[in-house]
Amino acid sequence: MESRRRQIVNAIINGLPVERLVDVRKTLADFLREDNGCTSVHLGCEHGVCGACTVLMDGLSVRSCLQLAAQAQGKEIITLDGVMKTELGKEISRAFLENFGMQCGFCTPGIAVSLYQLFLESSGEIGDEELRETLSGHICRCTGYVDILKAARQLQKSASSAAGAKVEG
Amino acid sequence: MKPAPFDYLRPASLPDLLDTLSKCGDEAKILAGGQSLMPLLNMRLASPRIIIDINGLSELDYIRADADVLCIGAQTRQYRLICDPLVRASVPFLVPVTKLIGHPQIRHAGTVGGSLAHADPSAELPAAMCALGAQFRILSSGGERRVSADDFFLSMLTVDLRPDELLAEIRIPVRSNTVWGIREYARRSGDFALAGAAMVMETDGARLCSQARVVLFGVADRPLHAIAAESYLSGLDLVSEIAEDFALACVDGLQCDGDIHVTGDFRKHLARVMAKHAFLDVAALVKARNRGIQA
Amino acid sequence: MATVTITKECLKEALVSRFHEGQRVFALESQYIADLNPIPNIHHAAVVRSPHAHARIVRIDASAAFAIPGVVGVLTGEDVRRWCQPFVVSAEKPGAYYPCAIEKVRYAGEPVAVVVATDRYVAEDAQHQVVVEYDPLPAVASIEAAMAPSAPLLHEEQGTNIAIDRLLDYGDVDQAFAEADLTLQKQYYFPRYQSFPLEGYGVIAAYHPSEGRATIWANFHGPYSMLTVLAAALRMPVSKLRVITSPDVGGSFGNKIALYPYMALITLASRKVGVPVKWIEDRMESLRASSCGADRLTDIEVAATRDGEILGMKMVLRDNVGAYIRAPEPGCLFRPIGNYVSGYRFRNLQARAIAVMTNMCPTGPNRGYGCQQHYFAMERIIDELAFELGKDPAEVRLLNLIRPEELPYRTPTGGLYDSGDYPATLKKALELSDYWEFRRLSADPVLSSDSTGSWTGIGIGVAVDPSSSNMGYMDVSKKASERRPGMFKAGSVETARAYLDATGGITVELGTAAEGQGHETTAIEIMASELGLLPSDISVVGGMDTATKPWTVSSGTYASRFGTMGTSALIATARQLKKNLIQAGAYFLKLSAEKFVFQQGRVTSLDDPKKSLSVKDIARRLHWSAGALPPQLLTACNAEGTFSASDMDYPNEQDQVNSSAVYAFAADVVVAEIDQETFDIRIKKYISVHDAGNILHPRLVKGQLAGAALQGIAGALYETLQYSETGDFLTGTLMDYLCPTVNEIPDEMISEYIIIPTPKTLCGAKGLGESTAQTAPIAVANAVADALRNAGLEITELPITPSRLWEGLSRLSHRKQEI
Repeated sequence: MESRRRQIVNAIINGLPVERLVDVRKTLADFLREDNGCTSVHLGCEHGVCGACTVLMDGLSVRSCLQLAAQAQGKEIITLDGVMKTELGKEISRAFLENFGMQCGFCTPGIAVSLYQLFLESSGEIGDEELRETLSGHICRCTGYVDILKAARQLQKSASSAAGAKVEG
Repeated sequence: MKPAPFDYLRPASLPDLLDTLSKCGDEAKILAGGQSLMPLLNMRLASPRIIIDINGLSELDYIRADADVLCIGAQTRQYRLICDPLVRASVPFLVPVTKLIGHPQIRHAGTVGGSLAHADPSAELPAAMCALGAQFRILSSGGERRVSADDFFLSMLTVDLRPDELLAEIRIPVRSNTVWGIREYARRSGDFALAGAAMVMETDGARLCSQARVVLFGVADRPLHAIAAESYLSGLDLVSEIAEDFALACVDGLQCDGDIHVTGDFRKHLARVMAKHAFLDVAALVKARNRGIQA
Repeated sequence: MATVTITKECLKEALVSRFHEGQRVFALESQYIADLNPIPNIHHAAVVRSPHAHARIVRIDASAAFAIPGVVGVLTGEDVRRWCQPFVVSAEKPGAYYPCAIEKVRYAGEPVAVVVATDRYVAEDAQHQVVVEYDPLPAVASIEAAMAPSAPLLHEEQGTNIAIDRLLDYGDVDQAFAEADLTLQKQYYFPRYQSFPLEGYGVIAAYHPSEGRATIWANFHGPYSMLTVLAAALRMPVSKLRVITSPDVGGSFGNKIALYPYMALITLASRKVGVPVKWIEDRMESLRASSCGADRLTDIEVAATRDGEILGMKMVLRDNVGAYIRAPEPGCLFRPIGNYVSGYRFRNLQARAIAVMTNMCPTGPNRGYGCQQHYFAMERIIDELAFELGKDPAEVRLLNLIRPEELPYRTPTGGLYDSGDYPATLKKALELSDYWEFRRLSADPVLSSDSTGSWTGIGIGVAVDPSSSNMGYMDVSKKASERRPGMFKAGSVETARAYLDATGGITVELGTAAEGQGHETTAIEIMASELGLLPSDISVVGGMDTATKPWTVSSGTYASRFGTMGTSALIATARQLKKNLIQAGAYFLKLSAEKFVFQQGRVTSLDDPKKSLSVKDIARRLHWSAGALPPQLLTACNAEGTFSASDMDYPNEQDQVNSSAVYAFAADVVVAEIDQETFDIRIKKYISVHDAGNILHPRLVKGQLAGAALQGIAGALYETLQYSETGDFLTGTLMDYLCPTVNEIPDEMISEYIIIPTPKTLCGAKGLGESTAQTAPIAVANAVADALRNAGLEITELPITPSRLWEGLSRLSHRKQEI
């Protein structure tokens, strides 16, 4: 096994299989933004605090600034681009637009992805504590969180967890 | 904030990994969950020549029982400790411990072994493992050795691991009649603790404490056993009335450093408060169990 | 478990029921500066920065950087010296400020060189290979240290670290203090923090050597007076500088105003290297080397009667503006000058305004800009005054607040408070927070026992919230005799445009560049309601391109001016368009225009309602039948509206100036609880009552107030930019600089409005984006002070943290033990 500076990555990004050659030190966030057109993945801190870069990796929310692109090998990655192809994604966007749960929009994609995961796997009701725990990994500077909570609570009531929620290519 | 260049290796199997470590472990950093390493790389506070990505090693990702020992593979993602039925049944203490770690995104990616090997003095898992009396299985191409959690954490971000070694498994004795508590103080939920206390006690089945492991974290360069407090509890009933004295014993002789958030004296004060409240949780658990027995 | 409840008075529901701008985000169509690649051959920059707070630059050796494949060039201070002039600023002894250090570095993080490469990864590799030899110098990292007699000088040629020292005197303070029954003197400290936006600075600059022009894309949003500063520094005419704002900007809160030095730096990098250069700031750069609110040390004295009437105040304001005083500073000192007395009636005020330079990051506007620093000292001492007199702080405020019948009110410093009812606003906040009930319960020894395990307190913060700055206010930083005669700077103006397309749809063009405040939503709201059309009939184009859109030096988004200037310009535009449509409709129906009205999207004759044309009909004819139109209708499809704020004069000889066009008023009440063991501070209740005039869009307003409040709370409790005594920057990451998350918001939040329209704008709305950023930290401080009053701990500085409270109380009890 030889060490390398470049690596071929095979992954499924938003339902589509991709194969790309990457610099091994390139972060997953930059890989998604620059090589896969997912500019909805935002960089707010690049050290794992703000959550703006949150994506799903094999169904779990992770901070893409703390992953190497090479670590996407064999994984399914979902960004807001993929979330918005689903019914649940559309519900999330409705909730945010109707409740004015956003202002500048920079933190919004990461939050939407986290909420997508939360409501996707909910088999029953999502409690307030769980909601806050999910949101606690995201920093918003504009809204003071009040209307983000309002949007999330609307989803709590109405989210269709399974119907039409899987991301297909 | 982009990492400096490095060479990348992704061993496909454990023997591959151990072989790699023996050849270049001294120039390499292991990439497990990345939650601690990646910030350092992005900030260029660490610029190792080689990164060894061990995320392909599914053989290190497991939770299983081995007689009366709970065995957790180092690559187990932290979030699994919260929901895994075996953990919840055999070492339920790990549930509240893990819930205190950061945020969901961190727990989805971070590994149990990674947190322990990184050894941040404010982290919850290292202290919890000391409180559980855990043992770590360390592998190298030369063989295997075991180190107790207490002996593993040497100082700030420094553990008993040679460059050619890998922390492979965490072994936690499953004991009956255990009670536990963990409390930490942070300015914001999910932050590293400014001070915390983790404790696991064994009782006689009722209220009498037969063995106590009380560990403070965030107060020194590594998890700290509150030895005076541990002896203090020996032969005592675990009741809320002794919480204050217990907490005082926990910080007896403790000297803490300050930082930009807290003075050393206040940190010590927080440690005492956290110890008190963790103990009250223990006493409440004891009480609830005893009620259950009587009923 | 904490709950958040928001109630508000019933306001008219807006037409635009969804956040218009947000659609782009979910449609994956956002374009922030980092997403843009507007021209070919873009290269990427990384900035070499000083590790030292104060040092001479001995030598820069970039040879190792050049050896890295992909590196195309390096810009250093020598290039900057050749091509650049210092940025102009309104200060007596400013020191020369360039976009990059030349010969000397004066704060940790100051740019020293710029490396340009094929991508950011390589640029950073090269950045770390640039060898800079420094000769460290002693640093000053506090106001006191910088002002000490033998303090090391940042700018030796100035002979001092004090850039401005202005004594402003209004009324007769000596008389007021002589007459007073009671005088009180305190010192207060307000800290430095950065309400940083989640999206950092971004610049793409292309220098065009053939014409000596530059095109700059950036998330800059004004004030466009900064362009004149930028152009002058680059030694270019403003017309050769084209500045384009990215279609989307991820927040600012004033911090992107100070982007202009980086716009200069990256333009020079492009000039040096000969390629377009893109620089996207990272979080570590933003915390240490972008912008932040100035910290202030205030000595304040109040003179009062025994009834609590304030006769006068004396203040010494010492603002730490960082290593360089740069425009728009010294706004930190002078932006609030018109409202220096806040909402209070006293006429005698003396303020000595001092700007101090230290080896720290240069400052700039940060939401609230100067008001929270100013009001903090006033509101704290008013509470202490009340306590001394045995009165309630609410009572003392109500006694001193300007009464509604006194408005419009000219303050002693020249401000013209246009409208409001300050006592009613405060009373409403007191009512909503059950203030008097809280006082009653705390006074009861049985009910208020400490057995709850926490100290609880209630605190008030009020603020006159200024919006839309008068371009002339800054000159009050100079003595009248030193102001340049004839160079009258005054006023604020804004323009909007609307185009009627061939099918009757309307496109509105804004001159303001928004960063999330909902300008587009508001524009649609205004146009739809003014014209009686559906929101879906209206499109908006925002952003700014200085080559293609009209702008003046007062243009831009800052000082909460969209709510006043922007909306007024839109209404003026709507009215112009209506006029055009009436003219056209009348012409097509061959009747006189005076007989027509515009209603519900139609032009209709008053005499005969059947004689009516829809906007669609009119639009079609205007577009298609140009040949049959009279000259005056040829431009009817294009309407432009301009609004200029009135009463915006240049400062007079008495140093009086109406520094802002409109003044809103906010009253906050906070209930804070401090855990007696952990000293954790929880905001149980946060009540804010706001008089922001007419509320054009309740949801947007609510969001602005909630966001501003949390930023104010963050400054009071969590966020502080910290330096060591030697100027090392200590809060370099988000692990050290603590931003509030969803779990840090107050348990209960109530926000309500008092609606008193202002005559100063066309819509009656006042600016409001900054109000709670001013009141929240003050109300929090007063609440904590109230909670700990019986314990004997005085609150004289922010931030309030558990550690500081505990240390304060421990010192008190040690002192008691010694006694």
